[in-house]
This record gives sequence, structure tokens and C-alpha cells, in this order.
Amino acid sequence: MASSIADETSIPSPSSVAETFVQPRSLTPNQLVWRRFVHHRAALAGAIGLLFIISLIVVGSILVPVDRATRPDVSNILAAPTPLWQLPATLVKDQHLFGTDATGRDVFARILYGGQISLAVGVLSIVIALLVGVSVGAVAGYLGGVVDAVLMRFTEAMLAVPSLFLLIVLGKLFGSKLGSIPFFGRSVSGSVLIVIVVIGLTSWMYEARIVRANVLSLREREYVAASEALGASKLRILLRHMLPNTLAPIIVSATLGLASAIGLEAYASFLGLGVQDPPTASWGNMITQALNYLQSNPPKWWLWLFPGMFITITVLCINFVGDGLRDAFDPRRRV
Amino acid sequence: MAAYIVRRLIQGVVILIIISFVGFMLTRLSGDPLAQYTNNPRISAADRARIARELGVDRPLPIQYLGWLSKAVRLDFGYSFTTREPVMKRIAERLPNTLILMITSEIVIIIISLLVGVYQATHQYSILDNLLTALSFVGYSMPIFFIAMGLILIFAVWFKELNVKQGLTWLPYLPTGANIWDQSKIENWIRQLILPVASLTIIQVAGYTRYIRSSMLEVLSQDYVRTARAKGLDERMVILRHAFKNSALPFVTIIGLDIPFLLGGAIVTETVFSWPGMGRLFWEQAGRGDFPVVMGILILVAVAVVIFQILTDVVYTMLDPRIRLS
Repeated sequence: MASSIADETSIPSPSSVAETFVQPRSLTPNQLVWRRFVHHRAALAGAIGLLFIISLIVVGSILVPVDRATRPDVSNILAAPTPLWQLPATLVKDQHLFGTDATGRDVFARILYGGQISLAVGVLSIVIALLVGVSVGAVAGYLGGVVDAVLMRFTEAMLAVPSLFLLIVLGKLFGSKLGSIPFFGRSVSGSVLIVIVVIGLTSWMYEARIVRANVLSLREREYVAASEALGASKLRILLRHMLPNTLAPIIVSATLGLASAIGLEAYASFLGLGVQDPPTASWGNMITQALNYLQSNPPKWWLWLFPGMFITITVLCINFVGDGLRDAFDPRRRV
Repeated sequence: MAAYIVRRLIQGVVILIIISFVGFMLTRLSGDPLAQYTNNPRISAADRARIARELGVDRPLPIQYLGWLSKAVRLDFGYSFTTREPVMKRIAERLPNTLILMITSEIVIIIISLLVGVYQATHQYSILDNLLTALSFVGYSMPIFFIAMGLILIFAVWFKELNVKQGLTWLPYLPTGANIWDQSKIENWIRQLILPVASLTIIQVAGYTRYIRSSMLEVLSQDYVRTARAKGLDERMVILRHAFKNSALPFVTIIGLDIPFLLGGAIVTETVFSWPGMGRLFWEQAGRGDFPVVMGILILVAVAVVIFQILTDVVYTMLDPRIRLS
């Protein structure tokens, strides 16, 4: 910028005129998106919050042994959290920062290990939702005609069913027992896989509609006609030309979908279709187990307050990031 | 207009047929409806085969579906597998409870969202506006049972303790939906309703106020609002008569599309507060493989969704003459 101001005061030579024009416009579209994103205060706060939660879970599960989250300790059930003002004491091995649950397992450790599961369920179920939604939307939009009519009526039909109804019916369908599966060097309940598939199959409809609408409008573009004229196959046109140009709305809806998938994991647990515990904790099944102690006296608030807070903060951060991405991908927005 | 409605109705019927087929296949494949008899030593295999024949679950699935469909179009959803009562009777027992919860919450939700949203738009970037925006983001991100549990802790557990033990008898505490309560007294209904309605309201209002705020702000920046102000109209008049009416238009669509989902969407709330509604019936019966009841509720809610979608479109065109249906 300094050089361009200096240029204005001196007599511009043709080359320096070109420079003043080129310099401020040298940002690529991706750099512009990045710029708009980091200037979005809520989005930045959301991203930082999310990074904090992820690093807490990663570092925490390295420091805290998994035993604390899974091994019952009957001598120490429903212990209240150690108050924070006794901080030195809370760092001692036997203290429980967030208290213990009904079988004496440490709630803090369960938040860490349950967080791994809840986040993994959220991300993987969105991957499934994207696979289904993008394929349905792309095929319907690109092929058109009868295929489009059939696929879109089906999508609309699924949207006309309350998502919890769909979750219950699919959960019952896949609800058989699965053995344990390895996950980061420990074994977790196979029910995690079922929850992922069920949430994925409950959440693909909006992606399908977004992708279809975008493909429909891209189909009329000249570069698609050009590539058809050059003899490119339909699959190549879809994968090379159309989907990359639909990436922005897909990323935004996947981010917002991730937030609702983490919420759905909690709802699935609540309806008894979630991650099986024992052996595997998730934020959803922790909060669900707390229901039994809701009206006990004195209240066992730490059982549901901490998992609920972690769900809320995580979903909030992801929603902020999603909102920020939507604004950042919008080329009409200025920084 | 008439041609449009007819076409939408045909589309709606297609969607309902798809839902019924998919729903039927999924619920039938997901569990043996005779599972409750398999572990009963007093019922022999021959008896089970006879029951299966009576219930019609021994025939091929497509035939079962057609049989179900031919009755369903005559509004006969068969008999519940668990209680042997007609499905319509079981739904009719629960529907009024769901409607009471749903209509009450929807009224509260609409009033509060409009008040808060309009306040925020007319006081943009004030401290209260920013605070409410932040709160709405938080409320929007909470699972509803988290809110419900918080409300129970405060109003049912703490208040009860203060009332009973500390002698603060002026402090009313609220029941948390014990299964047995005297349903003949209207004040019991009101007391039972407060917490579930409050939970549903917090969740929905959080989403709606953001919407009303932005739509109201958009209208307030338009030329005709400036004209109205320029001709010296009272600010209240400008906001209520000119801006509010137009910004509430798109809100009609959103509410119209959301309302039918409340019919089945309150499963969690109904469960936390032991409210004997339809969502809970769906969940309980799905767990018992009672597919006639499950299908009945599924279709009822889907019909409501489809009808409300058409109604919303029609009402919207009546309210906004700029839009033509085609």
C-alpha cells in the first residue's frame, strides 16, 4: 500500500500504473474467503473455542488413564466435584474435578473420552450424510427427468417425517448388538457404528437439495456445454466441473449439519438408541443416565450439567464457524 | 389457484405413499411383532403361527403393505398389537394431550418471539439486543432435555426445598409430571404445563427471534418506511402498521411449516415431563414392535405436514398479493 501512495504523488510511469492496479487485487478467491472468515468475530471465536475443546480432549485423554472413565469404583459413588478453590487438591490423582457418577467413575475422564466418541460420531455421520446427500442431489440434478422426480419426491417424503421419528425407526432397524471395535488403541462399543449410520441416514436430505439446486443451475453454464462438446463423460463433468463449484454450500451445510449431528447423538442416547454404556461413554449417554438422579436429594447436578455444557458449547462453536463460513464464501460480502 | 392446489394435493398423496411404504418396510423389518410371545413358555410354536396368521404378519411383505394401505385409505389403521385396541382409539386418547401442549407452546412461542424480535430490531446493537442475540445462539445450541433438566432443578427441586424445608411458602414449586395427577382440575393442568411449555419455548424462541430480527431490520431500511417517517407518522405507527406487518409475512411461512412437526417433535419433552402425548406413544410402541400404532402416528403426522405445507403456501399468497402461484 505504501508504494501505491507514493506512486500517486509522482508522475506515474505505465509500469507503475499497472502495479498499482495489480497489487491490491492479487488475492486469490480462497485468500479472500480466509480473510472474510478471520474478520468474522463470532466465527473466529467459534473456531478458537472448538480448537480448545479438541485439544482439551486430545491432551486430556493422553494424561488421564482410560480406566478412570470406565472402571467402576463402588467406594466412591456419586461424589460431588472437588471445588475449584481447592485447586491444588483437584490436581491430586484421587480427586474428582467434575465428581463421580453412579458407579464411581470419574465424570471428568468420561467427558474427555466421551467427547472423543461424540465428536467422532458427529464427523463420521456427516460423512455418511454427505455421501448419500451429494450423490442423490448430483444424480437428480444432472440426469433430470424421471430420475430427478423420483429422487426428489423421496427426499421430500423423508423431510416430511419428524427427524426423531426417522431416528427411532432406523435405530430399531439397525439396533442389533455389534461386538467391540478398536478406536485409538482401545475398544469401544460397536453401537457407535450403528449410531453413526442412523444419524447419517437421518441427515442427508438438506445436502441433497442444496447440491441438486446448484447442479441444476450449473448445468446451463457455458463451460459445461464446452466440456460436453469436447466429449467428456457425464461422470467426469459431474466430478471435475460441477461438484468443485458446489463445494462452498456443501462445506457450509456440512458444518451446520455437524452441529446438529452432535445434538442428535444426545437425542439418540436419550431415546435409548445411542452409544452403549458400559463400556463406552458419550456426552449423550452421560446426560441420559443423569435423568435417574434428576430429583434426588441433594441434587446430583454435576452428572448432567457438565456433559450438557460441553454439548452446548461445542454445538455453539460449530454453529458460529458455520455462520462465518457462509458469510466468508459469499463473494458479495466485503471485509 | 384451484389448479395449483389440486396439483399440490396430488404431489402430497405421492409423498404420503412413499412415506407409508418406506415406513412400513422399515418398521416391519426392524423387529418381530411376535417377539413378546417368543419367551412365553405357555405359548407354543403352533400358537405363535396362529397368532401370526390372525395378525396377518405371515404373508409376504408387499402383500401385507397393500393390505395395510387398502385399509389405511379408509382411515382404518388396524388394531394395536400390544393392547388389541383400535389404533385410532389409542391415538385419539393421546392426541388431545399433544394438542394442548402444542397449541399452548405455539401461542407462547409466537408472542414472545415477536416481542423480542421486534424489540431487538428497533433497538439494534443496544446492550439488551446484543445480550439477547448471544442468549438466542446459546439456546439454539442446547439439546431440549438439557434445558428441561435445568428448569426441573430450579423450579421443582430447589423451589420445593425452599418451600417445604425453609418455610418460604409464598414460593410456588412446580410438579415435574408425576404420572398420576388429578386431571379434573384445570389448575393442575396449568401447573403441569408450565415447565414443558417453557422448555419448548426457550428452544424455539431462540431460533425465531434471530429470524424476526433480521427480517424486521430489512423492512425498516426500505424506502416506504422512510417515507412513512418523513411524512411525520408516529414511530409506533411506522413500526406496527408499516414495518411489522410486512416483516411478519415470511414468519407465517416458517411457523406454518414448523407447527405440524410439533405433533411428533415433542417426544423428548413429553418423556422428561411424563406428558402422555403422541410422540411418547410412538416411541413406546416402536420399542414394542407395535407397527400398526407406529404407522398410524407416522401417517397422521405426515398428513399434517403435507396439509400445512399447502395451507402455508395458500395463506402466504393471500397475505402477499405480489406472489402468484403457478
